[in-house]
Amino acid sequence: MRKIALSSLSGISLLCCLASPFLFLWGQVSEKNYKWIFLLASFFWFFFASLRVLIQKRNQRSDGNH
Amino acid sequence: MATSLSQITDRMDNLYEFDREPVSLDKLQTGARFAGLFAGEHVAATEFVIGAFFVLHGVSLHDLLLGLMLGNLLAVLSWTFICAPIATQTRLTLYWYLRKMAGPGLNVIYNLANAILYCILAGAMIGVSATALGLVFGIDIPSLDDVFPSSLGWVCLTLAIGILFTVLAVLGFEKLSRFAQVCSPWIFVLFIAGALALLPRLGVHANFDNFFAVAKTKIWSGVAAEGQEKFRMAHVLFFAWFCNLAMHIGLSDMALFRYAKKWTYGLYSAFGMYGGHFLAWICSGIMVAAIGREMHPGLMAFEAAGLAGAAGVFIAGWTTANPTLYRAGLALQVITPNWPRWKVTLTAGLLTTILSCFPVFFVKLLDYVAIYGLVLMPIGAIVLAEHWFFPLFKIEQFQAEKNKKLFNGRALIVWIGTLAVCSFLPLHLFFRWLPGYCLALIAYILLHVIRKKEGAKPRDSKEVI
Repeated sequence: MRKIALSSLSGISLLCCLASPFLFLWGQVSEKNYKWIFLLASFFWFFFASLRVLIQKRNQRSDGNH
Repeated sequence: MATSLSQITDRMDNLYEFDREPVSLDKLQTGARFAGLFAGEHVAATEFVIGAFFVLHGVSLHDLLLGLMLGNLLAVLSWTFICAPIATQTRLTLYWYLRKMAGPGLNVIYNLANAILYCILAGAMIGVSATALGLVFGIDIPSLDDVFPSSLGWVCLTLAIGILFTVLAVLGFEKLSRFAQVCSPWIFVLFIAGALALLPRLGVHANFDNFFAVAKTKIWSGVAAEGQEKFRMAHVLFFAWFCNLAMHIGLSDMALFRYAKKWTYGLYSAFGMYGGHFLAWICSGIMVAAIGREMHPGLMAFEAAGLAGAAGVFIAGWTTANPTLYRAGLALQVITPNWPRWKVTLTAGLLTTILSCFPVFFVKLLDYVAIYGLVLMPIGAIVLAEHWFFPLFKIEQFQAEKNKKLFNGRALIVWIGTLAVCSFLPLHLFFRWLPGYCLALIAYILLHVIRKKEGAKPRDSKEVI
């Protein structure tokens, strides 16, 4: 369950990274704001994706112990 | 001498002992895993440089698109029809398969050559990362003609980054590999986002209606930058094809494909080629055009995506230098008796760090990639000849193993001879590997056919007697 949630959150973060230049291109946000959105979304991507990998690794280790 | 060489080969065998046996059927991997592996591996720091260089070399839009489509297709077909079939039939790494044919002595030479080439490649990646950090400290990056370090600042920067990468690789290679898995999708997105964000600077409208017109006139205009050689479609096609020559034609990706269920898994390499070597190269081309055709990956990414962009270039250099340092360390372990893993990685890292000070490996990356593939290509031809053609010509396979030879002299002659011929071929560096490959293939078979005929003569006369 946690893995699905983290996968979804990291996926959404990455989609935000990808959407931000389009928003700038279409004049919805300024260049400065686009860069801030990209930075923030990148931070969230690294946070959620790293957490997902950590949990995956912990699960694998506990499966191995059993 | 012979004893010390056999000691080295014994050490090397111990090192690779874990993958001595063919991969068992229960360890085979799914196609999705191959797709993911290729997609991640081929979006690296060097992509920031390669795509940008095509712009500087005056490639036109038509030549770029056609060259990349065909070149990447040929690379995918090389993995599918050359590398994957041998890997799935033998389920061995190139190391163990080559050992049967060329003998352990030649394997040592191959490993050393690989180690040095890996160190140079990792050095180029450190150079790419240095361009990002150089922005922070206001250090000028070398010009496209520089061979030696141009400033003390550049030397200090590359040394500092090289030492940092080395120490981190020594402390936790595996943790960094996991971090690289997290990074690769984001780096791919960074390429696309960066290129999109810089399009308005080139005058592209929000609805993209003038994209091709701008691309033809302002990005891939067909005019080379001052001092740069003009590239045409053939250059792009061949570059895209040989960019990973050591991996597909050179067969080092046998290590990967021995886990494939079928040889057709070679087609999954398309995820790396058309994601990384097509889209990412196009994106970096757009970025370099938008910053005024200056070869400065750090600045390109900073202008395109701000702090995240500069950090992306640094991270891309770091995560791609890390496995390269590991591979170099593994290959170097043959000449470092009983050294622990950390010491060998440290040695490879220090060698890489020194090499990274020399901008020639970074500013001449395209030429270096061509030389890298060229040096290792004859080994691929030798293995292909022995695997497929020897049974056809009824030549005995794996003679080095059967006769317990340390060196297969004919393989060494073919390797050195091919490189010697290639160095004198009156062709552009990018095109030399193909005739060289054919030459190596034919020469290796011919040498064995002649040997077979010579060997058959006395036996025949004995029978007559």
